[in-house]
Amino acid sequence: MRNRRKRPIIKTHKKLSDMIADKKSGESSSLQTKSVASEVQIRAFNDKQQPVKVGELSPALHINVDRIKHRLGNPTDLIVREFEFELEQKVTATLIFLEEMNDTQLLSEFILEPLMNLTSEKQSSPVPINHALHYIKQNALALGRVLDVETEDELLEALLAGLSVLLVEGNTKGLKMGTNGGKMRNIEEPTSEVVIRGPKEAFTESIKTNISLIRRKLRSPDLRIEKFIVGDITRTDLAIVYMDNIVNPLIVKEIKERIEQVKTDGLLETGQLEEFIQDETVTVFPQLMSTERPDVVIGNILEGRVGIIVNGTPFSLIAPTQFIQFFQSSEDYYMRYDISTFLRLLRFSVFIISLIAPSIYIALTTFHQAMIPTTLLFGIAAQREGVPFPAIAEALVMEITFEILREAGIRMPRAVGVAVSIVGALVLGQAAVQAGLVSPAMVIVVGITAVASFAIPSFAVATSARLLRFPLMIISSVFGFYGLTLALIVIVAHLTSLRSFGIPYLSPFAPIQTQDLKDSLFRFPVTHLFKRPEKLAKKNATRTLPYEVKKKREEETTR
Amino acid sequence: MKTYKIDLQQYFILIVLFELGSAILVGLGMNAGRDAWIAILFGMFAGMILFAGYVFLYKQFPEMSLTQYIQVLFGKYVGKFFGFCYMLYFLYLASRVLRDFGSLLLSAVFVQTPIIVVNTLMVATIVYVLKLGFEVLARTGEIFFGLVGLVGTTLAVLVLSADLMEYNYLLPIFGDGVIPVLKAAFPVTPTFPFGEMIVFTMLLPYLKVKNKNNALKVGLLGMGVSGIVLSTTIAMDIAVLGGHVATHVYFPLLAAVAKINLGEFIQRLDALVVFTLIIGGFFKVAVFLYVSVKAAQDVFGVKEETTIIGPIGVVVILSSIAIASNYVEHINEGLNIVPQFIHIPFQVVLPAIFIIVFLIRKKQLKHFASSSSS
Amino acid sequence: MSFLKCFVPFSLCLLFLTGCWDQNELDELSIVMGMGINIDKKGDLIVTYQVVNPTEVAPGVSGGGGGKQPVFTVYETKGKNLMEATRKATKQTSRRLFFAHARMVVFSEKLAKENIYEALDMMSRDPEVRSTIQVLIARNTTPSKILRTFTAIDKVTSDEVAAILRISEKNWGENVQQDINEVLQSIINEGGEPLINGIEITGDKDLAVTAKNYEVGDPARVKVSGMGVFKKGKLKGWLDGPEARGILWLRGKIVSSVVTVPCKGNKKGYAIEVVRSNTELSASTKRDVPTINVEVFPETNIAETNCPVNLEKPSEILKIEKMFNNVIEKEITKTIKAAQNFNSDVIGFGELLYRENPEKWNRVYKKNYNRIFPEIQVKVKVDSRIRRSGIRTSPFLFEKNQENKEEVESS
Repeated sequence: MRNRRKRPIIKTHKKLSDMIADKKSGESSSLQTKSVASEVQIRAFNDKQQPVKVGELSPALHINVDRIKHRLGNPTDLIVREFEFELEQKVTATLIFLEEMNDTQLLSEFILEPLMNLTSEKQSSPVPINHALHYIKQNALALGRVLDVETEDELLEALLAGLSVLLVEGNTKGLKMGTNGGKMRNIEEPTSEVVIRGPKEAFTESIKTNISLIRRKLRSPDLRIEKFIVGDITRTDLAIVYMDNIVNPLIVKEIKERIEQVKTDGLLETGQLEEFIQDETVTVFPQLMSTERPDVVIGNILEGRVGIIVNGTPFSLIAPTQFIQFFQSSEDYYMRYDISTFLRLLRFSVFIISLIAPSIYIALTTFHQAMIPTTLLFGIAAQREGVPFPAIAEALVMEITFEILREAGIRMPRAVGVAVSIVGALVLGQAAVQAGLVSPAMVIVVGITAVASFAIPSFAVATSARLLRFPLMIISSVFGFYGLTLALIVIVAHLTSLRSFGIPYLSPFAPIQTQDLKDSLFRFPVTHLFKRPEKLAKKNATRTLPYEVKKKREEETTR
Repeated sequence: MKTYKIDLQQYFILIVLFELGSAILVGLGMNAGRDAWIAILFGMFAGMILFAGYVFLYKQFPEMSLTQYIQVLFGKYVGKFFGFCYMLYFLYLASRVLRDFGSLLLSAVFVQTPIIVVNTLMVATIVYVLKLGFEVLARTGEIFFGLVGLVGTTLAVLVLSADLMEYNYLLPIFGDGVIPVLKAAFPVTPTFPFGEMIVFTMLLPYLKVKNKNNALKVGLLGMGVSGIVLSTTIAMDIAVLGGHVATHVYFPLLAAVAKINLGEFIQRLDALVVFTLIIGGFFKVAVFLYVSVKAAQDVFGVKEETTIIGPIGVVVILSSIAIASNYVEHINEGLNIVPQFIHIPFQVVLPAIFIIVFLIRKKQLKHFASSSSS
Repeated sequence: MSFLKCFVPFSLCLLFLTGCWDQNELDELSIVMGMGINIDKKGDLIVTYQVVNPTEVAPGVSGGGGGKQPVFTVYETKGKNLMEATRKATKQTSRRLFFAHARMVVFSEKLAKENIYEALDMMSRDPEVRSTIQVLIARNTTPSKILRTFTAIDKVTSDEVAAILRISEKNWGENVQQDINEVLQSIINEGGEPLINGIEITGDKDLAVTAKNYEVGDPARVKVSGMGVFKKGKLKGWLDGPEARGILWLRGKIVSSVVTVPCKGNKKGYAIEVVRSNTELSASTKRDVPTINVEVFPETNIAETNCPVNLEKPSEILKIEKMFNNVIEKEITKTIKAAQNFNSDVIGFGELLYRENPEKWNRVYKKNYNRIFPEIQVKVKVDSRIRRSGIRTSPFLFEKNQENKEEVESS
């Protein structure tokens, strides 16, 4: 393979972070360990204060509490609840948590209440103070997720992740408890990938909800979910999801490596991650697919792809991605194969239209007038009569106007949006034509282009068509169809040179994978789709064979 | 060095695109008048024999390209000399085909544009694609093969449905006897485009090793398919235009397609055809250019092929303009001089010598091979 | 990346340093729809161009203010050859003449009588002129008058003529669409000569060239009229009416036509509608003067009967078939006679002979074809089938006669 295009961005980031912290090299492998910056801080803090071992919890409760308060800057939402409970003697304990990130009802019902009701009578034998923690974990805390915390950093991380921490006087450990709660968005209908038929649930911002959405639909013991933490400051949770018995292990390894190499201070959206882990930077084409639909992720996992879920965004990534996936919609598999095939072909032609329609108009009207049917030529020529700009200027102005309108329509508050569309349609369209600034034919072409670009199911690939449209228009205004043809060759060559995690971007077309062509621009009936994509699912290339089932059924009916 | 391999499909597609590239454009075998399509079939069979010879050489040195194994056959210096000659030959062919397409564009669409601009644009595209690697070229071929096939089929259907064909124009077969047909067929048609398969001696090593034994079969299949397509295209040209017009226009295919007029709406498709043909021309020039690069790499011992693609591209642009002062001269050279004095030595004579030398030195070479491997 | 660094400035140079050589905005073009070529006394060519005014033709686009303009404009220039005249036209036009959409080229009879080959060259050499352009000869008028005629339905004359040619070939069959390619090919065919449609103006010729022609109910019109027969590039004469249709029968180009077959004492007779037809030509080349067999197989309907005949009787139908065969046979024989009189092989017999026996053609016939052609014996055989007789059975006339007869018998 060519190592020429090996993720230059990641390399530069690595260098940067190396400059910041060179001591970290020993533990570089795991992202789950503490971050460099905080370690440095702790050291600074400890040196000033007292000679306690670095980062470890002290048995004295107030020291710990003070240190935590200091580290967090004593924020208003930090709740430190001191209370006592009874074992062999009265024990002081502190429950620390960040308000609004925890479910207060859980805290009071299952932690505070049982602990405060604890009395020495109930114990069969007296519990020494240094075993208190173990004892209450076993006997008093009616919670599922309770784990030990041994260091201060761990404690802080637990707090910031939305757990509550229980410290008990005289113990050098604490307990972190899964009492996450607080307000989060409910599962709603997808907004960017609407289907008519199919599941109506979308991912939310919470990674836990998202994983549960996948788990619920995919009850296989082979489902693997691996967690990472990315982002030096944001410490964002990230999970990769795949089927262990289907996926090509080399691809998983590659994805893991790339994720581990990501060096950034903050990860807020999968779009950022995408830029870090994609193969090629100098391209307008999306190399990873993003989706907010759990069924899309599951469908892809079943084909041997890997889903990447990031906490804080409903959009998850799918890797590796092929170009053709951007023209497929999950609905294709829920509808009959004939209409799905038709729709896929339609979407692809729509992409082509939105890419080259204005260029073709320019080339035809300025170079190849001979190819226009005579009557149509009269029409266009009559419209062009009196238009002051050359066709290319006309087209550029109109296209840019349209882009402005689109951008305005998206960012505007909804109330103003109507006004924008009125101004756009009436003032800019109708009036410009009547004033003789642009020809009606041009307005039609721009209109078709615009509608076409909205019909592409994937926003990402519609964007690349948008960007490429302008250079194509310019070249076809200078060299007509010749320039356009060569430019298209360049685009196709560029597409074939792309790879997504080692898988050719344009497969199954180049190189041709005959089996996979069945589910590409066409969708064969499900009974024919018994193979998984060849390169993705090397381990386990055959799906269940539905056609055998069908055969059996036919035999039964004939008997 | 050769880390990427092509599979049989890509090999087949490259052959077809390469063969059709410029041959479908010019009136091939038109000296035979209305029997031109038969002349092409004759040429195809002769070309297949030549190709079998090339594959024979490849099988003896499956890991090496032509310019590499002649260095084994003749020793370093003589081998490099021959390699250098071949490099010039490939360069010349690249320039010729480029000129063909430049002229096509100029005479059909861009009457006032200087040819250097048109050619430069084409070579720039080729250089870009080749810099991405030969593999990318092969895969791009797969995409465009489908596209060209689609356009070709559509045009054929249109010609049929527009009822333009006058089959009587094709009769009588062998009206003036077989001799004029054979004369038209030899020596031009076997050498162009079929003998140009010599470039695949440079590309065959890219085949995956497991496909080594299919190289001949698939190659012949590719040649057969392209020969039949060429032959039917020419037959269609004649049936649409009549023997006279077909032989007296430079680009019969364009003239034939230009007659399509369906319902006053689908008309004047020749300009569209020009741009489909450009795709074929692109691949042909690209293959020649790449092969020249490979030859130069072997002769001059260049490590990275990407470094010399650009310079060689510039050479091709300049020589495409320098090789002839006008199109008549260019075509005349192509029909009368090049086949006899350039094609035949490089496609027939030299490969024959290589085979003979190989057969003579077989034992010695075996010794060489075993000693080098041990 | 380094490649990108040099590619970007390179492509920018290519974009901005190159001129727009072959670029023409639509509003810089004059769309030529028809050309006329005449010859003056000195031997210079007079070339007429009919240029469309798109704002007046395009549907739904109203002319920008002012009075109504004519649909087309006509330019006329002189030159020693076609190209010279064409470029000279730019002295009169504000825009480049654009020929790709030209529908027809009209030659004057005078030019046709002198030599038509020269003018054909430029038309077939220029890549812009499309090869489907129709070739015509102005009959009893000049090309310039034809191109100036305002036609009522298709506003642009050239459009109208092209449409007339197409429709009339399909429905009547006394002319064949002859585009420039076919003319050239027929010149080159073994022993062949071209056959070019004639066109004339009917009605008030002075009114024809004024816009008033639009306003009257019975305007002057252009009319396709006969086909010109050539010999060695020179117009020799005309085939008109049934003689012209004979050519289409012989070439097997009849798509549909109507033939009148007279019945006893009634000239109006039957109107037989030809639905499709097939022609087979064969030649016997044993002797020095070959004989040619023409077999025509038309399929027809009875479209009109003006004779009292019982169409329900199969024998009557057979009779009509026979009469129809005779009519067509005569028509074809007449055509062949006419062609032989002109000694011009417009039918393509030479090509047929070459196809049948190329060796003998090359050896014997080719040299003496001038002498042989008028002497060729042609056997014409028409074998027609009447398939239907419309949606009626016997005509009124027959019923009436029957009634009269019955009355006579009963009384």
